[in-house]
Amino acid sequence: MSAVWRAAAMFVVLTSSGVGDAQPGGDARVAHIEKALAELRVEPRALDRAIYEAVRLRCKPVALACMIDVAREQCAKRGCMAAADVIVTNQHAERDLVDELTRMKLVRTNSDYHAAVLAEVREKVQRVLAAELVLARSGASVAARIDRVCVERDHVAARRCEKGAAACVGSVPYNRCVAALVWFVSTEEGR
Amino acid sequence: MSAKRGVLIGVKSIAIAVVALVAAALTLRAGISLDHLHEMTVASAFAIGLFAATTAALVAFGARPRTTSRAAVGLRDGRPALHVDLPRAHPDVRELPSLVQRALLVFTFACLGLSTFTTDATARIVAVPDDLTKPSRAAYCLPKPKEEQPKIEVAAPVPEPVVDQAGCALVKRAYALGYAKSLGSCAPRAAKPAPVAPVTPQAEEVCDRRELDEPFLHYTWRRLVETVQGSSPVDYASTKYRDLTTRVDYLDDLLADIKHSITGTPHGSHHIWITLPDPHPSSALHVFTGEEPCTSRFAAVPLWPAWSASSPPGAIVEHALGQLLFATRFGTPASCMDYTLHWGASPDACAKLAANPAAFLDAADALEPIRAVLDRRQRQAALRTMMDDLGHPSTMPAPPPASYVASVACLVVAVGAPPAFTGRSITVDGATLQLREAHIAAITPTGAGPVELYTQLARLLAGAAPSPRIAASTDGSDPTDASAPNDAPPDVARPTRVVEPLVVDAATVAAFPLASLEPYAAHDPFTSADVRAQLAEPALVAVYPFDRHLHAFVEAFRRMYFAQRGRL
Repeated sequence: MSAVWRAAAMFVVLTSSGVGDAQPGGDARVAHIEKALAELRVEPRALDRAIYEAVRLRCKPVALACMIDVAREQCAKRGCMAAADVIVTNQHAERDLVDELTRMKLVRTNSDYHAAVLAEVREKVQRVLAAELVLARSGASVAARIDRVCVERDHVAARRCEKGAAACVGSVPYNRCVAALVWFVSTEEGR
Repeated sequence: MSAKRGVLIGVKSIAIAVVALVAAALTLRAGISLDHLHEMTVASAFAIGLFAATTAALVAFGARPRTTSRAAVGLRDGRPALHVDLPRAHPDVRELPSLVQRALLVFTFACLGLSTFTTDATARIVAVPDDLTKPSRAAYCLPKPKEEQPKIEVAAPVPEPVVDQAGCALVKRAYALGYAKSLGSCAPRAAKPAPVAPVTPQAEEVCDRRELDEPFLHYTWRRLVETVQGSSPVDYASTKYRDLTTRVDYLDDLLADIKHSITGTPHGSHHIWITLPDPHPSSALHVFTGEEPCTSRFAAVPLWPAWSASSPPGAIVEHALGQLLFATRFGTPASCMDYTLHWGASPDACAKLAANPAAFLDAADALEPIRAVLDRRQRQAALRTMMDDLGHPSTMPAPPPASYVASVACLVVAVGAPPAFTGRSITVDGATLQLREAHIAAITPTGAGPVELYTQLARLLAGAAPSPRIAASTDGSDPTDASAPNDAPPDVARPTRVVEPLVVDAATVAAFPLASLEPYAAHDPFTSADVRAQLAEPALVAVYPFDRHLHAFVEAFRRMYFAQRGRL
């Protein structure tokens, strides 16, 4: 009987600590997120601006394959592929995360459209996701928590927001959720 | 000769002291402090005092503080012991002084009153007599308060709005910095203000209810004259008699309709026989805990569980059905109370059902609910006919066809069997119901198996699999089904997005795993066999954007299905 209780206690400890949360490819995803966080410690905004300007010059129309090629060239010597992956994902997702009317307003009222869109996405999407990250289970690394939050968000909770609801972010695919959180964590002031 | 017991403390004193302590503790825990006494109104304080004094007096009358208890607690061999059935006025029994007991009782009920007779609650109690005697607006003509009278106002002139030109932010900035001498075409222009609609006074409605100073008999006579005005008493009486006889003719339907409402007859009855074992078998524990209601079971189902090879097929089917029909994340769901899943069915269930519907349904305890729903539908149709016979415009909608509120279906999972979907009609108590049957191969929990299952279940329930197309949302919110009716004005075009090809180069996927997932947002596994083939990779399934695709699929399915099936 005591062995049964020991096994039950071990089960509780393992599941509560997240060791039982192993998913296919989970380790590889967490490793990639950690690499991106490390690479984005050095001048993330400069890399983002460089990729954005290069995409504007070369990619007409803007297509993912072209954006990846541009990012690969930018990082060929710098060794910033993981960071570029995050930046390309964020830039490609802008059109879905920011509605057309808001984008037009940003064009009319700002001389630097890209900075305005980054600020808009930060306020409307990234901050809300960051709040969910803070509320997530602690104890694991930031990268592991980002991975778990984004998987659970998309495959478990899949929340819905009422139209026009403030501070509510609905369905966000895993890759966009990760890219948004990694960018926010990397560029938050004081980091 | 009785043994000396030492000092005994009466249970009455102990009980009063303990209750007083508990009341004090609860009052302090509720946050009631001396500040509350400062803020208390006179009425509230009076109510608390009256309540405490009256209740304490009543309790003291029964408790009789001057009489010692016949049960007491003492020490025996160093341990507390209860002594019962002691003689009256036992000399060893000690009680708190009568005054102290009464004071503790008053204190206890005062604590209760402090938390109950708050300022708001006391004000409401005091206002009850006034509210009861206040004339009701529904029965009397009340004078309009002065602020409700409409005023005719002249609208103040609207200041002319300045129209900003598109793309002039840079020009304005240059002008502000002194690099440009003028704004040119970017100079602000005044737009014409929108016309203000004139405010017209609304005609006052004449109130024909009882006036405040109108005698009751006068009001009664006035209403009687209005009722019979324009008709002779004979015609009026004959009309009333005809209405009464008509209603008597439909008495059975009226009573049956009331019985359906009171007894909670279901509004729909849809049954699905599944050849898989029950994923939630009943156990002896259910005798004490009861079975989990379907509303709880489907309240928060995960969107895309990580099924494994050991997952019970029945659980996968139940989850898919729950998503298709009952999950609230996809919009208005069906009522799970109207659906019954019959697990462990035989593969020839539908054949038996088609051969002898009543006998098979009765054996499966499905005949009674279906009959109840059909009867309820029939009664609603009869009451609608009754309203037509009475010459009143019917406010009840026409009941839907019987096949809309009741249906039967079979899901046969047979390893190696080719998929087949059939449908036919059966008759139950003269009503025609739809019988659909689906034969599918084994349930595959991994890869594209769940996607295939969703498609097969949709085909079983709706008769055909929906073909959703993902449309980009116009406001950054959740994706929608492009095959849905467009509610936008005809001159607003639905935005279209170019579908980017999937990233297939392994080196690129390894270097840019996040960006490589971007195209999957537009590649629907429910419609693309190529994408389904890629789902054989477990690492991709773990991060695939199923939400938007499943959302569109279920939306399209529900649009098809709820046009055929529903409830009264």
